[in-house]
Order: sequence, then structure tokens, then C-alpha cells
Amino acid sequence: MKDLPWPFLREPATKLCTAQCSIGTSAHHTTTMGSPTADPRETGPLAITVRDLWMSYPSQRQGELTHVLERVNLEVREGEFVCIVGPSGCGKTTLLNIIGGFLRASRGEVLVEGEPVDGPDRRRIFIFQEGGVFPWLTVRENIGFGLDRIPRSERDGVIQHYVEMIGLSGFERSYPRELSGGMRQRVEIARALAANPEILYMDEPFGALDYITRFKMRDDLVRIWEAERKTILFVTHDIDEAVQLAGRVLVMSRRPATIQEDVDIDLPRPRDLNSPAYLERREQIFAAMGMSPHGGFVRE
Amino acid sequence: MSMRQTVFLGSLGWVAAISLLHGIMNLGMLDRPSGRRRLGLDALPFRVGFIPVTCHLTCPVTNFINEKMTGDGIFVPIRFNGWPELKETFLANDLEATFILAPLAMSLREQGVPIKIVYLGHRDGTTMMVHKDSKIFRIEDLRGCKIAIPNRFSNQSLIIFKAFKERGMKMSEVTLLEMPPPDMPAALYARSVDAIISGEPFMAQSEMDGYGRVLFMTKDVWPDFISCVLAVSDRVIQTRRAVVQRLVDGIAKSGKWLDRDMAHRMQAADFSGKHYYHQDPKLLRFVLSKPPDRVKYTHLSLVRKDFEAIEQLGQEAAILKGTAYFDEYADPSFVPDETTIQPYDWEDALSRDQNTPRRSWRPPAELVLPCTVAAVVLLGWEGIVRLTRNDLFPGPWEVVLGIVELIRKGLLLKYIVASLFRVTWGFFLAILVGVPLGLFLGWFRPAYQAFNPLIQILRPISPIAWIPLAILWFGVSDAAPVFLIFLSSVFPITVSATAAVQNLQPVYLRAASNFELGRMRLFRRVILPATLPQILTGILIALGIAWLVVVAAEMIAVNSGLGYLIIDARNAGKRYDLVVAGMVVIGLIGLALDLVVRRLERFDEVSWGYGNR
Repeated sequence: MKDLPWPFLREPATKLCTAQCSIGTSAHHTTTMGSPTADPRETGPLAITVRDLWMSYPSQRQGELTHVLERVNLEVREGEFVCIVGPSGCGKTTLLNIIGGFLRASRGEVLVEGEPVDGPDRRRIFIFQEGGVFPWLTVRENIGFGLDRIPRSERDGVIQHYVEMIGLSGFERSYPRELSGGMRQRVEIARALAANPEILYMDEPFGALDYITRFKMRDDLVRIWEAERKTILFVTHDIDEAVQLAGRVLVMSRRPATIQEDVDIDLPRPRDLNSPAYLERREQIFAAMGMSPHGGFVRE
Repeated sequence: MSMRQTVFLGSLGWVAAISLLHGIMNLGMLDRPSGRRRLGLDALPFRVGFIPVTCHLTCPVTNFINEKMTGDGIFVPIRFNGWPELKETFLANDLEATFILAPLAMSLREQGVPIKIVYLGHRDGTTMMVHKDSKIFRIEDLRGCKIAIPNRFSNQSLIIFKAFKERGMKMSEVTLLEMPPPDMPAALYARSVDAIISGEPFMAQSEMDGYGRVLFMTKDVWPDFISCVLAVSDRVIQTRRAVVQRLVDGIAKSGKWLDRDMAHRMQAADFSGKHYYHQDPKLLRFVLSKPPDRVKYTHLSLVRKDFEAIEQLGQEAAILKGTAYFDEYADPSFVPDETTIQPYDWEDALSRDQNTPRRSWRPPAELVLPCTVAAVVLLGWEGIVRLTRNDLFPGPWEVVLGIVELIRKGLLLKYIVASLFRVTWGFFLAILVGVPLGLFLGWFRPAYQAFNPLIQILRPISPIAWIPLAILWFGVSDAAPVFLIFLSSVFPITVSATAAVQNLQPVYLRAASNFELGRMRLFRRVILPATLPQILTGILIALGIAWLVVVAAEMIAVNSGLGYLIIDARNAGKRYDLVVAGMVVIGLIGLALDLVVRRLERFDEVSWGYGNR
């Protein structure tokens, strides 16, 4: 295999962790405002469990280790939509790559569906920030990429279903370079969904899009999630995005990172971005990241 | 049609079509086998190598007269353009017999090559020329000069040695340059050498064109000079005595025929120039008549003292070691009785009225130049040729006439087909080897580390350097140029495929591994399509190189192709119009190939890789 761009390291980090946080301890319960579905967080079986995860890799300077993650614990239940936010460079993507099986942690345990993760798995599809669609395939062919295990006769139906779901009817035979950035990203999401995974890992999937497209994409994603009810673990540095999308937001600290805060966003969708409840959640996350929603950092 | 279909059907159709055309036009696939082919050993071709010099004239004469009289030419004459290729082909056992420089044959025997000299091919026939304006009038004036010789193992270098020795001069007083005889007149014209010496007719060329002056002929310095002999390998002497005997008798009869009547010599000049040497019959007529004893074809028996003289001079000149004696390198058992052998009783009736080359025909004046740049270039070209009053370098119009002449003779299409055939096979083989090899090296890092240095060592070696080995391995078949073209194009393809895999976007591999593709599917559905644009670029570059190499590849003694056209035109004396015509045709076809293959870049399967979003 070609070397993956992420270094593997088995040696555990030696430095002790100061910030520690496990899920639920700081969960902030607010009365629901008529949520359309029961929150699966309390009841559903566990989809993802991360226990005492450490990650470090050799730094640029010889012989030193960069500690990225320290003592990360989290749980995600089936059907949940969870966002991970944190300052840029804090290790969100590293964490997602470990959970997705593309990276191995220095220490700790990752269980998905109760089984330890030992590599990528077609039941959990990863969606990249950009460039994940294959430029040599048409929209149809991209969406059908993961469908080699279902009968040929059913394939066309599945592909057509997802083409329509992402609103690309009429573009089936187009190549990615003929599409806009937002359309390409929707193709990648459709490709992931068509493979009928149990979990979607999304690594800042809308990060490269313009503001308006991003807004639209969030709407689309919520609509799709409500229709399909996949478990989604979504990494972003955009707090508004997290609050708009997620049922729960995990806030990561600065490096070496851990889960610092676990915020329930028990608001009905589509969300009213000006409601006091929405703004309250938003403010809470800003505060957890040491920022003021009105601008500037809060001095400690 | 998708790219896959187009490429597959297009390539398959092209390979089949060009191979068929080559088979029909150049290999005589459709010719009916003539009745003379019998079973047994004699059914095998008996190939005799020669170079278009008058020293070898008995070879075409024997073949031609026998072909005309009995329909059986006894042997298949194979023409070479230079000594190294001829030697290598002989060593590779791809020639049963060959005309060869006497000291070269002796030296090969000294080195243990199992060959024997069975007969001579001529006597005399070598001239040393100097520029007509030079101050060299006597051999002594050569001190400090540059002299072009055909080969260090040639008797031409020994005759210089002998002439110098007799005048108390040393070889160190001159500089000797090895040069293919066809290039010598131009070198003398440009005065890049002071004197040239080789077998005719190349020396007479400079005399006819008015810038060369004879310094001496062999008869003045070394009467009954032997330049070339007929050599046969021991294996052939043992297994095919009868054919060797017929060949030797034929040469003896041809020699007598040539020397009996000046009319015979003129006939030989015409048919040899036309069918064998591809030289202007006027030039050969000149050599064979002015004076008549410039070259002689009688007294061709092997005489011990002649060879011992060569042996001794060769040792003194340090080109022979003296470790092989007459009885080892010569086999006089085939030599016929000079007194009883009769010349062929044959006249070439056709030659008399067919020899004037018609160059009066002009092509229609519709060759309108497509763009001003070309017009300017052509005008400049013509202007420079006129201003410098250069006799040798042709102007554009002469080149056009040359191309027209080639078309009229039906040679142009034949040669284009032959060249395209060789490039096609060499190039397709390079793709078949280079792409998988490159992908493999790009994917498996240890393999890359192991083989990359080797590839980087082999890559910069010019295909020309491989020519000797190619002849040794493949002889004078189409395989040798195909191999050279293969070599020139396989490395760029391999290197680009390797780089394509190494530069693969990791995100594609991650996406693929997420869908748990197996090795084969990963390769077929991700690696190959993702690397295709870069591989195609490498293939396009390689095609350019393959076509570039065709001239060098066809320097080997094949008898067709555009590269051959150029070499052949060099041999023809002052036919630089055909040399440039060959260059122009090669350039135009290169342009056409590029235009056709570059269309592949427009397919959706690869166009994404070329930047324009």
C-alpha cells in the first residue's frame, strides 16, 4: 500500500492530561420545543464508542512528539446527528480519521457497533472536504460506485433515487468538472448514501463552498438525514453550522485536545436561527471555546 | 464511442492494416513462390552481403545475369550501407557469405570467428581524392593532413601505410578519420578533410562534380590491390559447398564478362545502379571507364603472396596481430581454373534505351504553401542555396521534385508503410510493457527502489548505441528496428506511469478503500482511470520519440523505410534532394501522428486530467 499521509504511531503519549471530560457530565438539558422525533440519544443502541483515546505523532523536530489527542471519550447512539467543533488544528479531523479506521490511535479504544475498528469499512462512509468524487466518472457512475454488491437490475433504481434526492436530475451523464462545487459535494453525499451505510463521517464537507451554497447544503443534509436516519458524525469549525445541523455538539479544546463540552441541541428542525433557544445554545458553545458570540475572545 | 472502444478498435485496426500493407508492399507476402525453390538445404536462402561500391560489383552482376538467364539468381544479395552493420550481421550468422574488407576478414579470423576467404571480388578500384584547389600534388604533400578512411581494418588504410613507408613518412604525420564512404565527398567539398580514400564510386563522385582531383589510384601505388574479398562462414562451407561453388564460379564468370567488353561494363553500370546500388548509372559508367583499369575484375584467384603482403603490412601498421595464416583464413578449394572459365554469354538488351533518367516532368503547380511562415522559410532556404552557390545542398524545389520522383517510382508509399509498421510494433510493444511495468513500480515502493536505478541507467542510452547489439540479436529483419523503437519509447512510458501512480491523489485511494475494493477492482476502477491522463501524456511523448528514432533504427540494413530512404540517398552520391525529401516526409508524418493521437486527450475519461476545469 502507498503510505498514508497520516503517520501511524503506537507509542502512547506520556504527558499527563489536565483537561478531562467524559460525555454527559456537562450535558445541558433544555426543554424541548416540540421535537418531531424522539431523541435517540437516550434510548438507541450505541453506534460509536471512544474510550480513553490518545494520539501523538513525531513532530517536525527530531525526537519530539506532537500530542494531538489526550484522553478523548465519546459515545454516539444510532441515528444521532453529532457535530464536533473546535478551534482549527485541534485534532478534529485526526479524531474522525481514527474513528473512520484510516488512522490508528496511539492508545485507547474505538468501538463501532460494538466491534473494535481495524480499518475502513463500507458500512461507514467517509465524506471529504473536497475532491472525493472521481473525476473520470459521470454523476451516475460516481453514485453507483459503491453498488457493486447489489444486483445490476436494482442499481439503476437506487442511483435514480439518489440523483433525485440531491436534485441533480438532468445531470446524470455530466462529469464532475462540469458541475459546481456544491453539486459535486452533493454527488459525494449521494455516493455515500447509495452504498446504504449505517454511519456517515463528514469532515468539513461544506468547508470549500461559498456562503450561500453552504446554507443550502445544510438544509439539504438535514432533509436527507430526516429521510434516511443515518448516524452522522460531522466535523466542522463553523459553530453556526454545528448548531444548525446537529442534535448534539461536542466541543473540543485546543491541542492536545479532548472533549470539553457536550451540548444538546434539542430544537425542532428546520431551526429558527433567531429563536432565543437557538441563540442560547450558540452562545454556550462560543463560551466553551473561549469566545464571545459578539466578537473577540473572552479573557481568562 | 467511448475512449476504450475507440482506442481498442482503432489500435487493433491500425496494427492489422499497417502489418498487412507492410507484408504486401515490402515483404512480398502475396508474391507467388517461384519455381526454383526446392526442398532441402537449397530451399533456404543463401544470403550474400554487399555494399554499393564497385569493389563488390561482381555480386550484383552475378545475381542479375543468373536471374535473367535462368530465373535463379543463385543467392539473395543483401545490401548494407556501412561496414559495422555488415560485420555484425555476418557475425550474427544472418549472412551465409559476404563481400568484406580483406584485413577485416583476417582480423575476424584472428579473433576466432570461424570464417574463410574463398575468392576475391575485384582488383584495384580505390582512389585517393583531394580538393581541386588544394596544394597537395604528391603523396609527400599529405604531411599534417586529415584523411578520411572507410575503416581501420580496411586495405585503404594499409595502402596509405605502404605509400608512406616507401617515402619514408610516418603515419603519425597525418590524422586518419573513419567515415562512411558515402559521406566522404561532402566532407571533401566542405574541406573538413584534406583527402578522402575509399572504394569507388564515391571518389569519382567528387571528380564528376568538379571539386575533387585524383591524387593517386591503387594501380599507381599498389598494383592489383585487393580491397575486398568474398568470405564464407565455416559452417556454410561444410554444409552448402555446392552453392558456394556456384557463387564463386558466378563471380569468376561475371568478372570475365565485365572485363571482356566496355559495353558489358556500361550495361552493368545501368542495371546495378538501378536495381542494386540505387546510384546514378552515369557515375558508375564514369568509374568503370575512366580509365578502364580504375577497377578490374579478372585474376580473382587467392594468391598466397598477395595475402602475405597484407599480413605483413597489417602487422607493421598494428591492425593485425599476425596470429592467423593464409591456410587458416583462406580456403582456395573453390577457386576455378582461371584459364578455362568462360564469361557469361549474355547482353542486357534493355539497358541501352532505358538509361536516361527523365527529370523533365514537373508536378502541377498546385502545391500552394499553407502559410506565410512556411513560404518565408522556403524562400530563405532557396535564397541561401543560391547566394552561396552550393552545389550539394538542394533547394526546396529540388526537394519537391525528389518527393515527386519517389511517388512516381512507387517508393514513397512503400517506405512510409514500412516505417509506420516498425514504429507501430515497437511503440505498441512499449505500451504493453511500459504501462504495466510503470504502474507496478509506482505502486510497490520496494520494486521502485530496486528497479528505478536500472531504468535511469538504461534510459539515457541512445538507441543508436544499441544498433550493434540489435543486429547481433535480431539480424537484418524488421525485428531490429522494432526493438530499437521499442527501447526508445518504453522508458518514457514506464517513467510517466510510475510518476502517475506516485502522484495519485490520496483522497481517491481513501474513498476506494472506504468502499472496500479488492486489489483488482481498486486497480481497474481507481488506479488505472486516475493515472490515465498522465500515462497518456507519457505515451504521446514516447510516440514523438519513437518516430524520431525511426531514421536511426532504419540505418540497419533493412531495405525499406523512410530512414532507409535517407541512408540510401546518401549512398546514391549527390542525391541530397532525396535526403531532404525524406526529412520533410518524416516531419509531415510526425505532425499527422501527433494530431491524430492527440485527439485522445479530448475523451472525457482523460480530459479531466488536463487542467481546464
